[in-house]
Amino acid sequence: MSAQIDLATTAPAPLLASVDRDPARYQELFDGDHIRPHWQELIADLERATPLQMRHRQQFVTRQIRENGISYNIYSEAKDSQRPWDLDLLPQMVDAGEWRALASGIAQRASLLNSVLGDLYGPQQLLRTGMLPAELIFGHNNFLWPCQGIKVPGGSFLHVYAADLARAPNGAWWVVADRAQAPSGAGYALENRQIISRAFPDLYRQLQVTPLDAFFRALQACLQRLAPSGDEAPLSVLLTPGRLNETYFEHVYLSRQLGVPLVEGQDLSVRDARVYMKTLGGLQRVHTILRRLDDDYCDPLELRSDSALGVPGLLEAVRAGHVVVANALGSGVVESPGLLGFLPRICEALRGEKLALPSVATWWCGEAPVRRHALERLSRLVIKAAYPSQHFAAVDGSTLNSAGLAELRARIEAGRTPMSPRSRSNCRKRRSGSAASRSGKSSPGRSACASMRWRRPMATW
Amino acid sequence: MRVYAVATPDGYLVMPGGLTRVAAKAGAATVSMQSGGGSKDTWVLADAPTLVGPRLMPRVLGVRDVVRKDPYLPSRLVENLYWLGRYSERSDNLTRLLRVLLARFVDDGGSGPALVSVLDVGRARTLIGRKPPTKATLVDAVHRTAVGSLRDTLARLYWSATQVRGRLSQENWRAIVEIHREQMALTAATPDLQGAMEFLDRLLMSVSALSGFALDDMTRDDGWRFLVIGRRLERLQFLADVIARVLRQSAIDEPATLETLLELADSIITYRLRYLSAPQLIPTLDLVLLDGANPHSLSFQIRELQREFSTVAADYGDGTGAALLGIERLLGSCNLRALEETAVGIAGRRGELARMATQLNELAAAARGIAEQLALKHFAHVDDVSQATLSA
Repeated sequence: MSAQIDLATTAPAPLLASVDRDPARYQELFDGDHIRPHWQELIADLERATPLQMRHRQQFVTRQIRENGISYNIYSEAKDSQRPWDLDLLPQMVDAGEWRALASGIAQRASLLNSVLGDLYGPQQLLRTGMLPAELIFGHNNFLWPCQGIKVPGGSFLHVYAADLARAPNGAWWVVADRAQAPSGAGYALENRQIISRAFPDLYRQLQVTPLDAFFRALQACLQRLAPSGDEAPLSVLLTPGRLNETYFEHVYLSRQLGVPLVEGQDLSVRDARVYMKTLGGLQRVHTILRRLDDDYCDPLELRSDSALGVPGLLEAVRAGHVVVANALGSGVVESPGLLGFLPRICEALRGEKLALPSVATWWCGEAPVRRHALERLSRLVIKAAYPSQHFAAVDGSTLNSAGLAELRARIEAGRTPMSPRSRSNCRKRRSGSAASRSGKSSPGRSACASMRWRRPMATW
Repeated sequence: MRVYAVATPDGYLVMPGGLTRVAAKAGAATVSMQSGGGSKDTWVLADAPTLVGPRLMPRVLGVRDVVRKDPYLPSRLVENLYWLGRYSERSDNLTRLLRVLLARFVDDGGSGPALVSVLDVGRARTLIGRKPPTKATLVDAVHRTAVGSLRDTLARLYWSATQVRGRLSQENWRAIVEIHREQMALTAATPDLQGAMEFLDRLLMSVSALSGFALDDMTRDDGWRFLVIGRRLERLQFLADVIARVLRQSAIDEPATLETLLELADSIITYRLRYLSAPQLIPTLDLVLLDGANPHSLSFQIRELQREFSTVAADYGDGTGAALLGIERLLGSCNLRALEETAVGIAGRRGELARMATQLNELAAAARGIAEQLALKHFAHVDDVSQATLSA
């Protein structure tokens, strides 16, 4: 199982032999016996480097992370715990042709989910025609009734979208999850790039790696373009839940990169259906809000009344068209794993084309035949909640004993009582045979040259 | 791998790259950032040379990029700095007050004019009850956590500091954490007079350090200005209140009473150096009311407030100028010559003392008014100026 190469001390032949060649897994590095072309130059560079050079590169990465204060907060650990960001020295390589196909699939999916949101908060044809079960949508706590009928500028609900992807053993990419309300991590990706590109400056230039900058400029432009500011200079802000949030570092970093002030809910005030930022110099009109706050926390007046993080009256300002919230409030509903199984048909209906990127095979247990089917093979499935409000962590059926399976079965079946439609556990299935193979992992055992352990990318999130 | 897309007028633009995740532990079937784990940079190779646009890499800053002011300084941050200033100063005052109270109790054996005057101040702040003080009630005065108590104030000091932690130096933050630790540790200690006094001594040192940080550790930007305003307003209110109470004491001419006042105003050393004798009324009042060189005099607080407020007014409009002038007038009318017995007689002197006490009370009330105005104008934005912004 060891998927580790001691690149600095091993000669080429044994080096490559040391890579885990489990045929049930997709081999990132190898195609048969050959190194894949897009990896060759990186491997060659690593083979040329002396152990001392590699150590210096590793130290450079560690130092950058420390000096820039890049951190990630872990909720489960003691309060106030900041964990330094963990960044691997070796980049993951993706071939240009493969990326083109993947990127167009992602773009298609983003447009599709944007149209789905436009329909759900508008005419609801998908529900009327039965392409989506009403129960799945209305039962989701991020379907926000107060947002029904709101017109968003440019018909844009998803200003930023993210997909979590995994590789199947044959190398095909699968979508594991959609991130629609406030996708996190783009800032970390940029920070990673700024560090790693400087750890391998020559290689980076020589390989002509595509830079990330265009994405962030497009995001800036998007916030400016949609701002309902009239003649005023548009002011965008980044709304953060605060310094205890897991990705607070990223909020600070993004606000600097995008050149927008970082604010908390209490910094904003809604007056006369317009949003203002309270600054020492007085109230400043805010036109767009890039939010890192979950849907239902955004407005304690109309959504969750126990939210201390939101802005009272925000929804009123959105409804009046005086402010744009990115992503639109209520976008979280399309994050439901229950939706995945319905997307291929919806794509054909709405866009007249096939869904390019397959989702991990997933069924929603809200429908009786599916539920029966799923209950029969529970031990070979992964079960996930369809709604975040179910507070149900994903369970891998193959890890449960018979008592655990019985309990899970009871919980899914109990969901049928009409009195508690929200407590229904909904089922998400993946092909059991491929479960292990798709979750390629490295064993991070450390070799003599500890900095050079080879870490395989994770397939699952 | 997580891949991102952003909406553009021509459809979605996909970030060429993304966040590739690696597991922290081998054998984990799924991975999430919450359960730990690391990341990789993702390199998408171009098959044709790409036009490299302007980079988001840090650029070299020149003279024209120099920034000395944050145009979007959030009110919340400034408000928390202001309260950090107030609570630091309040902690300082309460620590000093309790220390004097405990020391007088030990010295005077439970009676005496000095204890009476400081008890009066302590009772007004509900630190201690109406009954004659005992060892137990005095220890309780240090240990209690009710609203307005020393420990309550320390907890608030810590809370407001956590809200502005990013703006405090490492050392400043450590000093605050140390104070918090002392305060929390007090719960476990056995309640005795000796322990309480040692606690107060240590605390006074740590709390005084905070004023040092405010003086020389922080950049003098708008945030700092409000922190200092908080400190000055707090000290002004405390001193005006304490002096007014002492002026109403029947034993006002007793050296012990005046010495207590000088200790509460942290001016005892200056007095001794200047007069080399037991304190007397007029020089004591001059030192704590009018001496502009004494950082613990009322006059000093008012002058500093005027300076900081004039800077704030220049940037954000005037809100407190008139009220400050009123405070200055009240202090100016405290005429020490009218306290010379040879000039006005015993009865005239009594009347003058009472009048002066009333004026100081008015002064404290005016300072409270300024604080309220300040909050409405700069923090909550509900005064007339902000309404104008709204309708513009």
